Amino acid sequence: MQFLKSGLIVLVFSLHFPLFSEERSDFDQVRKAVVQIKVYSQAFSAFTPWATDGVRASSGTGFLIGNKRILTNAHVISNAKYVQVQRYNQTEWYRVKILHVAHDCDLAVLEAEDPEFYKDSTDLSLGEIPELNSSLIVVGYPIGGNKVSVTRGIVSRKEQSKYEHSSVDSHLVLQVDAAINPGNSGGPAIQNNNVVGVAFQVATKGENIGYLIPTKVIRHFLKDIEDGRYDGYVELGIGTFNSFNTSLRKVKGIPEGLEGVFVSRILPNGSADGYLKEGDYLTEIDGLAIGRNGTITLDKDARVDFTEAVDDKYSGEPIRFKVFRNGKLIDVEFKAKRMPDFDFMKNRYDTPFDYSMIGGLLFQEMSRDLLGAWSRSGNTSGGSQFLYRYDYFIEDGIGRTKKADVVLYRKLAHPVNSSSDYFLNLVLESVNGEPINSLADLKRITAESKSKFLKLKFLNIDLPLILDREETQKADSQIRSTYGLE
Amino acid sequence: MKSKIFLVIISVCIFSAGLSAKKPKSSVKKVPNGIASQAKAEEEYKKSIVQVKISFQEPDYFNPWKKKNPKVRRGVGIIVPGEKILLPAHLLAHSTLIEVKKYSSYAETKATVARQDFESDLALLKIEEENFFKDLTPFEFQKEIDYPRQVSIYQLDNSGSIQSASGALISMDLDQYPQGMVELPVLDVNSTETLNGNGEVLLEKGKVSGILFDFSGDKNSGRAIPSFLISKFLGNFGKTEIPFKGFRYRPIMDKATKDFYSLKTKDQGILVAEILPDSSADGILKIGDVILEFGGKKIDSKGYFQHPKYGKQVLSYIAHLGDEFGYQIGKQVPVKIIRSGKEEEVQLSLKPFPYSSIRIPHRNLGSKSEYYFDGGFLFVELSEGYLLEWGKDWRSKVDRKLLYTFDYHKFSTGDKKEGKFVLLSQVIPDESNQGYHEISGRLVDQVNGKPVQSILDISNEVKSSKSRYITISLDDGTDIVLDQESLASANQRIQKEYRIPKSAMGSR
Repeated sequence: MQFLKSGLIVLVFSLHFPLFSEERSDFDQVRKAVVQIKVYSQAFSAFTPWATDGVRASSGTGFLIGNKRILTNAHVISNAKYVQVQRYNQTEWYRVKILHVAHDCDLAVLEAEDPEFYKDSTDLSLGEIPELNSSLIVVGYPIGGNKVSVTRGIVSRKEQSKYEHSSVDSHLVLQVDAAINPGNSGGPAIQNNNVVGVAFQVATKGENIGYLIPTKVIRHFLKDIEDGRYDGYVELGIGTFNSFNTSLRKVKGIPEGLEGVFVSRILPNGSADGYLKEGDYLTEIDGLAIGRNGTITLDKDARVDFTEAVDDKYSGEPIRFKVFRNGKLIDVEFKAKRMPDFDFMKNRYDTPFDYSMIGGLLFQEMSRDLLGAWSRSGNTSGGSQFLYRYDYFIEDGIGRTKKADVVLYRKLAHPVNSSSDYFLNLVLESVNGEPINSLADLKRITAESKSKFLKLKFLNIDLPLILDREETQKADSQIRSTYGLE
Repeated sequence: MKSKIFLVIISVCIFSAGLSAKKPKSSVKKVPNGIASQAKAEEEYKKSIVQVKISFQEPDYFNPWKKKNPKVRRGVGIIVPGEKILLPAHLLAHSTLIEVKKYSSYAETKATVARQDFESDLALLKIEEENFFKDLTPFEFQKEIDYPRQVSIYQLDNSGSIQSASGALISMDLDQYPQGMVELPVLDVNSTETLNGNGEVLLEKGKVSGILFDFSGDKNSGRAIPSFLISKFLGNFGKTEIPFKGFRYRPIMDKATKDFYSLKTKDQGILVAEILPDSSADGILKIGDVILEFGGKKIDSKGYFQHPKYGKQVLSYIAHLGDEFGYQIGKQVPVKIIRSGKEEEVQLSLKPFPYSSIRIPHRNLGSKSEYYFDGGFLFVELSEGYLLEWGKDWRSKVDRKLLYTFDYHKFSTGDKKEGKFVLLSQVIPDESNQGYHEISGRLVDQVNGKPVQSILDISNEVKSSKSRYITISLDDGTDIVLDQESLASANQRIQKEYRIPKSAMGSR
């Protein structure tokens, strides 16, 4: 799967729809609500966090949902410095401000500053989840022109799937066989004059397979921002295993006919941490029966993973499980909460990367962006250590004892760091014996240290990297000016 | 030396004088004579080189009960004293049949392995057939190697005729041989001719300088086993076993590190960075020791010493092939170190590589791959061979936890023996293992609550457990349950359905 905003150049065919007259008048209403968005953005670079990337222009689609609000995808306006909008028949571009961005469900709300923009506009209202095999239209401004474009498609699947914008979060999506193209992003999918989804990503393999964010997710976002702040999705934070196997059920003493799934992992700092236990057998969530494969019934078209029930919740709301534990069925209830532990695995937008430089050695907390930058830089030595730590940081419980892995990811060459190549791309374990559990630890320890040497001990390597603290400090300003650090 | 050069010059002078004195006719005669003498030499070498044909079958780590399709590789063997044939050991990996062919025969004769050593990549073959060696002449070996130097490279082609090529010995370094763990001297050879690197013999003045074990046609370069390492393997220095120094080290290049470890002189010393349990260095050296002298030789900041003949060589040379300095297995090597700021001398008693501390076996070490297959659950030992089954890009394809384990936990550390890594490799679907079909390549943590350190731990538990159900816990928190009562019937079904041999299944 890939973003609509991605560099795929797809030609748009001028398709003529034989629209009926009443549909045409409805379409006029739709057309008045659809907005073209022009964005100038500047991304931050994890590899060179002190410098700025080039400015890049892109465009997307949005639509009016009332109260002057324009709904679009988060990825349309990510890293934006300057955003303008225009509706059909308008010649002027209107500047907008970004009210809320939700990177975890790829949605954002904008508002134009000039009331002129809203003149003779209409608002669209949200509908329900469409049925399988029902038709809809997707409206937007795909690449290839700046005229509004309409394409027709069929709802072909409903499932939980990954939202590529963050690359970690997974929510309900609608799969449609419609010619959705870059620039369509943020455009509404319309059925019976209501919005039933927002176009947001396409399958790179297989033609004409596009994905919509369903209104369930849109409503969740809109409700979350009602208090003026976006909190984000909560996470249950467990791993589960199916209960198809009869021997497994027998050993665990599960009564015949009791359906459910086993808890195989409790992730540190998740909602379930401290409430559910490994080996628990989950049979119901919020009164909904969980099947042996871990699914609940969404509607007549689809069974979805039971975690979909958690996806609907907001921070602080209760999650209720019926659990078979120690031979008894018990009720377990706990509050849903966000799990910031996952943040390092998500693509990051709108914020610069924090780093620390010691004698030309650059340190950062491990993140998805750093990993991407690292792999693009082509330097793969020692990589297996931090690749493993990245993939398994939460699952293997590493995050229970530390906030983040701090890695030495780059070196700006200078005589003081001449012996450091060996340690590149390794996880920093301690400095002068003090454990490094976050970038803040490193900054604090190096700032407070009065010892002659800095002993940097890296994970799985017995001998430390030795730096002369004063020499390193002396070299810092020289390195900053040589390499152009702010 | 000087007198030799003098002699050559004189002979050239005489020769050219003779030429100018005689008619052109006789000079034409001289040329075929020269070829004839070379041909005679080739005729001679023919009797010392044999063709070796090795049929082999590689193990299939994904389906350990079977082997991959048989293949054939060919190599060159040389006759050595004691009626044996010498060739690079890696050619014999997974061999099912070894056949040799000598110049005087069109028939292939069966050979068997008399001895092999993976560290020096050398093996000896013996022949049952009587009188096989009757018309064969053993080679002699150079005592020392000279480089850079032109050498002749010989091999027999399929028809039994000798093919000669020329090449140059460029340099000598220390490196691990294809299946070895210990760094040993390796000759770098250049040649513009087509070579295979499967045992071709390098000759200088009719004596063996080395055996080519690796060659890359793209780079016109190859690597050869030097004669003195071969001599060691043949027992000419006494003990044939290769010692291992037992530690790994890091250079000391920068001022801060030098100051930290109280080093005063500029180009001096290396840092002990890693020590293998049960090795020569275990209990003698400590991590963070600075080695100043090794076996009485000064060690520079990159770990080199001055070899009287071969110039700068890595200190491993002294420990691993130090026969000329009197160091062999069982001998003590004096080591001058700085420990906690003070100079000391310790004695390193040389032992072979501690193979028992290997947790992830090397690809070809001749050992059979351990596995346990019961009820459709296939448990295998994590090995390099298993990882390599993912193909050329295996490093980007295998699970990152396995890759990390491979890179950082290949050997035991510290005092404790940590055992092997066991994987649930895959599940062959059967009605009895419903629900588990999609599990593959997961590390096994425990069986019935006991830690798993070998394949046998699981099969023993299944054999000896009094309870009907055996619970095997995987590293992701999943529990696998084997039902003793259904294993036999499941194995029977799987055997029939998937045509897996009965001998591969069940208790081991």
